[in-house]
Amino acid sequence: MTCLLIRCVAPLQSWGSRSRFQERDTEREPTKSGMIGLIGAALGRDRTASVADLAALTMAVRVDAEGVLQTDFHTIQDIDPNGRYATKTELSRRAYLADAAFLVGLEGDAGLLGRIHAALANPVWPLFLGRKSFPPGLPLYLPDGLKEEPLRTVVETYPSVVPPGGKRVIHPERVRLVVECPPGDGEPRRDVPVSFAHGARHFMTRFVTTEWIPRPPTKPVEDASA
Amino acid sequence: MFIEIHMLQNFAPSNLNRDDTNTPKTCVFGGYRRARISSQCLKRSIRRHPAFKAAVESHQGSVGVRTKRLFDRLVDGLTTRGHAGQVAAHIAQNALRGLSFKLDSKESKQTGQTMKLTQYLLFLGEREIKKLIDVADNHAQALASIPTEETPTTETEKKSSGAKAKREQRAAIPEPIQKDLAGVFGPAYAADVAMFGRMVADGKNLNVDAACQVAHAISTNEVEMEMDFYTAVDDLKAEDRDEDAGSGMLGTVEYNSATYYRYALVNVDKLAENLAHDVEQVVGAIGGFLEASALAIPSGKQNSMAAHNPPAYIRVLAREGGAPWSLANAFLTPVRPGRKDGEDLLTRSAANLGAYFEKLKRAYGSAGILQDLTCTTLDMVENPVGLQDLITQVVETVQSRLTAQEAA
Repeated sequence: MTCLLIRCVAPLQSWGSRSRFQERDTEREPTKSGMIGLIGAALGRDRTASVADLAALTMAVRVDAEGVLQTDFHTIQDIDPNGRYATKTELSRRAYLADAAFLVGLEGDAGLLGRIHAALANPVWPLFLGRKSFPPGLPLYLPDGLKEEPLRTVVETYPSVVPPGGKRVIHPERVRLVVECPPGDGEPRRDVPVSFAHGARHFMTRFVTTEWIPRPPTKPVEDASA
Repeated sequence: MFIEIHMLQNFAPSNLNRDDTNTPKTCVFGGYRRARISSQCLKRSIRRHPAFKAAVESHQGSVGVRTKRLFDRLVDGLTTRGHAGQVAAHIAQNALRGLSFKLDSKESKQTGQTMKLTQYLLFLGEREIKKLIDVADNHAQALASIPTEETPTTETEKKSSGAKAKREQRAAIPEPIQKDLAGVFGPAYAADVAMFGRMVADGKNLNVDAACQVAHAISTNEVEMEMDFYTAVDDLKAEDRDEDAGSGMLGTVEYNSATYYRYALVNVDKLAENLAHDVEQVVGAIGGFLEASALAIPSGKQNSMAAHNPPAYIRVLAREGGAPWSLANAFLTPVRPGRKDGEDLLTRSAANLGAYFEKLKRAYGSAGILQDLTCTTLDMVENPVGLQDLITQVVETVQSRLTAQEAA
């Protein structure tokens, strides 16, 4: 079985699954629709292209740092052609995760995962973590991210992706693991994209289980912060 | 091809970007509280800076307008093409109907006349408006022969204009005309629409994906919120012998001071696509974006704070291949100032940023980087360039690459 690992570490990330318009929530870990959108951008797929092959990949997320849930208060204001303020200002609250670090594992077709791995190093469109204003803090591409082992083994053993520096609050002994499971078990997540086309966005449901596993060791990384 | 922009900018005490409680925006980064200036705040100041417009217009481009008054513009355009006032209004109304734009009636405060306004503000380039007038003019006969719908005036009528009603209304306009009208929008947009994108809830075919990405600016140092306690004196109360000596009003204003790391990215290929591969206009938009990014400062609370502090460090990379890098993690551990010369927040932040960038290059290689230029007020950088030189050189790189692409 082939697996691909993607590192999601950034000052700010947001993984919405339900909300639109004014109140925008975030899940506590990357959604499947978010990851597929990100991969689509790396491969240069148009919004209207099929994502069935990507949705067929099995996904697991290891939460190396839970991060802090915060809110950005956002106003959208328009002005009339004379440069005077129009009267109506839209208010919007947008939740995000600060300081979070995730390791996302995908399992499936070896050829497809190989292409995705290459595209993460050399993306067609710029990549971001849930919102356009949230660029990655570390490259999503892991040079050793393509593995010939079962997904479970890979996400249990790969070293922690929490960058050194700062003083994150993390549990020293365990990390949360969210893995896809057959329908009926676990909890439903309505984040499997059928289409990203403007005006025709559509999602289906998958099921995930959440468990705690021992925190993997941290190995010194080349791209540690200064 | 990507253009990466990295900046360090220290602001004196200020409240440039606040939340709903008037507190300067913050976030947690690396476990420490940081000052934050949101992406939308930075983009707005860039979009509205005269340098952006000037650069765009000097390269045959145009900057869009946000307006609800598309109807008036259409009527004016049709009148100059010889349609009588009443007929022009009729044509204009049906043309907008073919685009699913509902019109609301509103009385003008100045003239007392009834105005017809689109329900929300549209973000349009002059070129798009001109093309819309052309299409309406070409189909003038057909559009004039279809009866117009009543413009809703009461609140209940306005509320009942949901998506279904809009579809029904649009169906009155023949399909080929609908197609021509929709064809007005794109593929060549106004420079700011091309750069910053456009989102229209009712007309999905009008949506444009932005070509730039602007990160929220995060302070490299830890911040504490400061409070300014103020009193406002009632000048005439002091003369009244029966009154106490207290002030007329008191309150507090929150503010902070921080060195920000700013990061932005321009996707040149996407910009070229949004500007219909007009090299001249792409060059104008990128030059304008670089200059306005360097010069624009958010306007929040500036009348009482005047934090007019230009960036100390602007580093621009042109990248062909490879993923772009934000360097925010250089500041996971907050920068702290020392007491001696050269130990200030800016100098230390720049040193950390440079060192971290070298580490990233060691880890991931630097094959894709074509150009790496720095404009700075700090003494530590070798061979700095002036802002205008930097812009000229980056723009030349973009221009030669796009020209080569066009020829291929």
